[in-house]
Amino acid sequence: MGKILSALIRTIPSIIVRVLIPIFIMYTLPSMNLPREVLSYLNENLGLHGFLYGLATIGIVISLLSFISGILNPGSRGRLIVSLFRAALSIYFSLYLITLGNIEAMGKLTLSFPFIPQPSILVSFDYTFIVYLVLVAGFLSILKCISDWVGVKG
Amino acid sequence: MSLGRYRYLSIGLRASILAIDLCILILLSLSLYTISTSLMDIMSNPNESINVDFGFNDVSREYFMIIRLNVVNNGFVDMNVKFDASIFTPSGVIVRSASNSTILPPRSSKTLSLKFTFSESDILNYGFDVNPPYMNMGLEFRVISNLFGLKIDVGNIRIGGG
Repeated sequence: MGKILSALIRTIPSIIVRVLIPIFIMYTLPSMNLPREVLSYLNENLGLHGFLYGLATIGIVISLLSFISGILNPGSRGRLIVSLFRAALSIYFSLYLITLGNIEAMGKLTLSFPFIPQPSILVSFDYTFIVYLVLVAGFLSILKCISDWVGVKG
Repeated sequence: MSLGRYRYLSIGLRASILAIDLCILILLSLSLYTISTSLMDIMSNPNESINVDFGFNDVSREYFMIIRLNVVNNGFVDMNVKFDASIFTPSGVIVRSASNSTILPPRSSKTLSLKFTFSESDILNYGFDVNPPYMNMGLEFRVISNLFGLKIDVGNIRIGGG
C-alpha cells in the first residue's frame, strides 16, 4: 500500500504538468474572451485543439508508466523496460511540445500572418538547434534510466 | 564498476540534462528578446524604419527604386540581418535585387538598402504603365551564430497603380 501511495505521489507532478495543464488550457481557451477570428486562426494553422489533446494523451500514458515504474521493484527487468518506454515517450512529448505538434518539420515552422489578406505575410521560425538539444537531453535520460537500473541491481 | 560510481554517473547525467534544459531556456530567451526588440522597433516606427524612394535619373535615363531599412539591435547578442526583394512584372519576368546582409552588434543600428533600376524601354516592355508590378520582400533575422532564425516574407505588394 505504501509503495502504491509513494508511486502515486511521485506521479502527481507529471499529471499536473503533462495532463492537467493542457486540459485546462483546452477548456478555458473559449472563455478567455479571445476574438473568434484568433481562435479559428489558431485552430486552422496550429491545430490547437488537436495539439493540446495530443499533449494530454501522451501525458496520460507517461504518467501511467511513471506510476507502474514506481510500483515495480527497483532492479527488476520490468522496471527497466517501463522506464525506457517512459523516457522514450518523454522525448516524444518534449519534441511534440517544442515543435507545436509538427515533429517532422524539426523546428522549422512557417505561419501565415492572420487578418491581412493583401499583402500576404509569411513568418518562418527556425529553431532546429533546440530540437537537437531536446534530443540530446532525451538520449541522456535514457542513459540515466540504464545507469540507475544497473546501479540498483548491483 | 562499483555502486558509488553508478551513483555519481546518475548524478552527472541528471546535472547534464538540467544543464541542457537551462541552455535551451537561455538561448531561446536571448534569441527571442533580441529579435523581438528589432521587430518591435520596425513595427512601431514603420515610416522611419522603411523608406522607399522612386525616381528618374535624367543622365542615365533610368527609373530607380531604392528601399532603405533601418535596423536596430537592442538585444544582448549579435544579430545577422538579411534583406532582399524581387519584383514580379505582369509579363512574368522576375527582377531580383542583390540581397543585402549585415551583422549588427548589440546596441547598434545600421541601414540596409536595395536598389532596382529600369530603363525606359524596360518600363514599356514590362508593361509597368498599364499593369503595375508586384513586389516580394524578405527580411531575415538570425542570432547566436545563426542558430535561431526568424524570417518574414511579405508578398504581393503592389507598386504604384490606381
